[in-house]
Amino acid sequence: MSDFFDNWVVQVRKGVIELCILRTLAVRERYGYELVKELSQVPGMGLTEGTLYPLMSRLRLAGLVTTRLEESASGPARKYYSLTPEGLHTLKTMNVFLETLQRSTQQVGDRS
Amino acid sequence: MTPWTPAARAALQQSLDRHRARFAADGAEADEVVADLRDHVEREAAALNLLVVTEGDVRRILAQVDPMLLEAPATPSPAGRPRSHADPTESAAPGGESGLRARSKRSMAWLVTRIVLGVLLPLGTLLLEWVERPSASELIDPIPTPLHIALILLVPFTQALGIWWLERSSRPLPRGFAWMLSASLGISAAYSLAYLPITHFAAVGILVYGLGLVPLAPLISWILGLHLRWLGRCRHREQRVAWPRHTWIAAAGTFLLLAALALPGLHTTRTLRQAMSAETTAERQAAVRRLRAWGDHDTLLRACYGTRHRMWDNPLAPFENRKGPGVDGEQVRSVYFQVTGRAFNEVRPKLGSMRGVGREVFQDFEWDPSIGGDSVAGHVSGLSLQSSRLDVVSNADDGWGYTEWILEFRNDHESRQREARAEIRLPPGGAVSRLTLWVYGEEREAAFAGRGEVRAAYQQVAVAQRRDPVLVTTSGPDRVLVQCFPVPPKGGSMKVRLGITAPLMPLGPQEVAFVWPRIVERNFAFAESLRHHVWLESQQKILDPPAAWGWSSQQTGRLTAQIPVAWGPHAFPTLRMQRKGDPVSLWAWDDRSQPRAAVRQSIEARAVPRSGGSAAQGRLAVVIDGGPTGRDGWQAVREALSGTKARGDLRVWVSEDGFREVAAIDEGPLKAAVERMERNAPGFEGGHDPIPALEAAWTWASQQPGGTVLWIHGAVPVLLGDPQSISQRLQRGEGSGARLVDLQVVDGPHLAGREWSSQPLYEALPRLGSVGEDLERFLKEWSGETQGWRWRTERSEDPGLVDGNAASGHLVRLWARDQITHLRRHRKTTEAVALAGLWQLVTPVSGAVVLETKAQYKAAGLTPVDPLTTPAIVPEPETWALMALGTALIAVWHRRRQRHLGH
Repeated sequence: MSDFFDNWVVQVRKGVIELCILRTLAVRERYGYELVKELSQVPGMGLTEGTLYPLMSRLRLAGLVTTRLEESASGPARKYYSLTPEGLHTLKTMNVFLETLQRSTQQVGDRS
Repeated sequence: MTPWTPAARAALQQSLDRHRARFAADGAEADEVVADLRDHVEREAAALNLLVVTEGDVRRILAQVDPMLLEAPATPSPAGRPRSHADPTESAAPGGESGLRARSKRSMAWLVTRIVLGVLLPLGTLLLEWVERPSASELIDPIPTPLHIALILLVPFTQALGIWWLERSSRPLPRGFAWMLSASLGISAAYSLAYLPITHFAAVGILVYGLGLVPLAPLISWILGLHLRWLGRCRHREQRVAWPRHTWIAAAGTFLLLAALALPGLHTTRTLRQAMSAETTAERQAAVRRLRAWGDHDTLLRACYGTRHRMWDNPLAPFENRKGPGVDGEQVRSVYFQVTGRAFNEVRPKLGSMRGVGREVFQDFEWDPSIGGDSVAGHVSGLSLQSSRLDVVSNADDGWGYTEWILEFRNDHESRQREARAEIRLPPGGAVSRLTLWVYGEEREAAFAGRGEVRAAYQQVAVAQRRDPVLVTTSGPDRVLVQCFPVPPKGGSMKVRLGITAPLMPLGPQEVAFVWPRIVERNFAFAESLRHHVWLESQQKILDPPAAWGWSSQQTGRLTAQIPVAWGPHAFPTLRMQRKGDPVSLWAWDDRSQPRAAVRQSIEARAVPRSGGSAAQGRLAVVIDGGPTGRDGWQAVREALSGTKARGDLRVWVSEDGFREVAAIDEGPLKAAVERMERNAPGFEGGHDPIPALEAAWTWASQQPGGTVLWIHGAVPVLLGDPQSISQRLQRGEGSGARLVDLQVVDGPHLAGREWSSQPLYEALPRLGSVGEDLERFLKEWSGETQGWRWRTERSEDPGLVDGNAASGHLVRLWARDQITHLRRHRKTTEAVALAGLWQLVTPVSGAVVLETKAQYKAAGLTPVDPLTTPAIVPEPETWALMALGTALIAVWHRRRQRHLGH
C-alpha cells in the first residue's frame, strides 16, 4: 500500500469519526469511559482511546453534545455525554449528506 | 480504590500537562481533556486489579490509551510554529498555556480586577477602619473584638488563595478550601447585610463623588466569593471531582456567629428605646429587667455618651446629626443606672485599645456639652490630673483642720480646650475657705459671693469669653463641685488650690479624727504617674499613722507620704489624734463683724433622740439599696445587728423595683431581724428609686417620737422619682417626724443628698472607717450604748467670755458655716450670703470664683479677696498684726517723704 492510501485513510477516518460519536450517543447517553471503549472497538477506525477525548471536548464546545456528572456507587463520579437538540439535528444532516455522497459516488462508478 | 504511588501520580500529571497545548490547539478545552484522560487512566488501572499503581503501570496504560501521550508533544507556539516542551517559558509556568504569560489582555484585566476588589479592597477597608475608624464613628463598629478582625481577614485571604490556586495549578481545589470559601461567604454576607441600609447611598456616592467603595466592600467581596466558588466548582467538574457537600454549613456558621455577636448590642439598643419610650412604669421596668438579663453594658455605655448603632433601625440614621447634645442623653443615663446600679461615669472607660468601647466612647465624646453646667457629666478625652499636693495643718485640742489641696490638670487633646470638673467630698462639716488659680504663674485669689452671682460670672467668662476662671460651688452634703476652664490643648495645664476648713470629728473627749477630702466624681483621668504628695502637721499626737504610707519621716504630729493613685479610694484612712481630756472652751475673735465678738467652742456629749423623755429610743427604720452597691451595706447591717444587745422597734426595707419589707421587730431584740433578713435577701441588681421605700420608712418611724430612718445606699447619679415628697417630710416634720440618716457606702454622685441636705431632719453619717465600723458606731450611739460627741460653738460680744490664749480664726469660720445653715433654714438668705462673703466660705448659698482680670471682676460686680485675709498653711496673720504692719509702712513712707521735702 502506498503512502497515498495511508493519507487517504486518515482523511476518511477524520471525516467520519465525529459522525460515529454522534450516532453512538443518538442511541442513548453514555458515560465517557464507556463511550471511548465502545468507539475504540469500531472495526476499521483504528482509534486510540486518547484521541477521542479531545474530539468529545470539541463537540461539547461546539454545542453538539452536553455533559452531566452523576455520582457512582462503584467509584468516582461519571461524566455522561448526550446529544443536544442541535447535535441531533446536525447528525441527521450529516447522515443525509453521507447517504447522498455514497449514492453519488456509486453513480459515478456506474456511469464509468 | 487501588492506591497510587506518588511517582505514578506525578508521571500521569506530567504526561497530561505537557500535552495541554496540543489539546487546546485541536480546539478542545485542555482542562477538560486532561481531566477526562486522567479519569480514563484511573478506571483502566482499577480494572487491572493491581495492588498498587506504579509509574510503570501508568506508562503501560498510557501506551494503550494513546502512545502519543508518552512522547514529547510538538506544541504549536503562539506564532503558529511548533514549540518544544523544554521551552523555558513553558517550564516556568506549571500551568502551561493557562499560565499568566499566555493570558489574553481581557482575562488579565479581569484577574487584576479580582485581585484589587477581592483582596486589596477588603484589606484596605479593614486597615482604614483599624486606623481611622470612620464606620465606628459614624455608622456601626465592624471590628469590636479581635475575633471580628480575624473573621474579616479570612475573606481576602480566601480570595487570594483561591485565585493563586486556580492560576498556578490545574488540580481541583482542596476540600478544606471549599469549606473556607464558604465560611468567608457567610462573613461577607453578614457584613453586606449590616451595611445594606446604606448600600444604595454608597452606590450613589460612587457615581456622583467617586466615594463609597468602603461601605460596599463586603458586598463586593461576597459577589467575588460567589464567583470564586463557581470557578472552583467548574474546576472540580472538569476534573470529575465532586464539590464537597454541605459546605453551606460553614457559611451559615460564620453568619450566625456574627449575628450572635451582634445580637446583644441589637437587643440592647432596641430594649433601651422601649425603656425610654415606655408610657407606664411597669413597661419601663419590664424593659429594664430585660436589659439586666440580656443587655450589653458596653452598648449602654456607648449610648450614654452618644447614640450609635442605629443602622438596623433606621436607614437614614447615618445621615442624621447625632453629634450635638442628645435629646435623650439624660434618659439613657437614667436607664443605665437602673440596669447597672452605677453612674455611667463611675469608671473611666478603658483607653489605649484600638477597638472596643474605650476608644469609641472617647471619639464620641470629643465634644463636651456640659461646659459651665452644674454636673460632672461624662469623661472627656485628653484631660488628666497630673499633680496632687495636700498640705494639712490641724489642732486636735482646738478641733479644727485646714487642708490646702493643689490640683494641676493637663490637656493632651490636639485641638479642644477642656473644662475639668470634679465633685469633692469634704471632711464632715467642712467648707471651702480659699480658692486660688495660677494665672501666668501668679496666684489669683477668688471672689466669694452669692451662688448665682459667681456661677453667672463663671459662665460669662468661661463659656462666652473662653478665658481663665475657676468656680467652686456646693454640690450636696459636705460636697463641692470644682470646675475650671479652659485647660488648653496640646499639653496645656491649669493649676488650682482649694483651702478647706473642717472640724475634727470628736470621737470622745480625748480623741478626734481627721477625715481627708476625696474626689468622688470626675470627668478626667488620673495620670499613671500621679502621686498624692501629702504633708500633715498636727500639734498633737497622731494615734494610728498608716503603716502603708511609706513615710519619708515620722515624728509625733508630722506625716509625709507619697501615695500612688493606684492605691485607690482607701489610700487615705481616717487619722485619729489625741487631744486634752477636759472639754476646754476655746475662743477666737470674730473681728470682721461689727461689733467685734468672740466665738467660743467647746466639746459636749451629743443628745440622743429619746421618746418623750423616756429611756427608750424611737423607732429605727433601715432602708437598704437593692442594687450592687447595697450588698456591703446589707452585710454590715446583718453583722451590726448580730452584735447588738439593743431592743426596740425595727423595720428593714429593701428598695428594689418598688420596695419590700425584709424584717420587722416589735419591741424585741434587734438581732432577731438577722434571721429574717437572711430569708429575704435581695438580688442586689440594678439601680432603684429609693423614694417609695423612704416614704414608707419615714411614715412608720415618725409614728413615734424620736424615730430614725437609716438609708444605706451607693451612688445616686440620677433621681428616678420626685424628691420633693421627702424634702417636704424632712422640712415640715421638724419636731415630730423622723430624722433621715444618710449612709453612702461607696463614693459617687448623690443627687438626692443635694436636694435634702439643707433640711433640718437630714443628717449625713460621717464616713470614718469601713461601712461596718461606721454602722456599728451609729447603732451604739442610737441605742445609747456609747456616747456621741460634738462641737458646740457660740458667739458672744461679752468680754467675759475671753480667757486664756486665742485660738485660730478657723474656729470663727466653722461657727460662720453653722450660722449660715441656721440663717438659711430661717430663710435669711441675704444675711447668710453676707456672712459667707465676710468669712470667705463656699456654702449652699455662696460660691467662689476666680476670674482672670480686674475688668472681669468689675463686669461681674465681684471683688476678689485680699490675699492677706485668706487662711494659709503657715499661721495666718491676725488683723491687729496686719494693721500694725500697715501703720508701720505708712510711717516709713511719711518719714521718707518728710526727708525728701526737707532736702
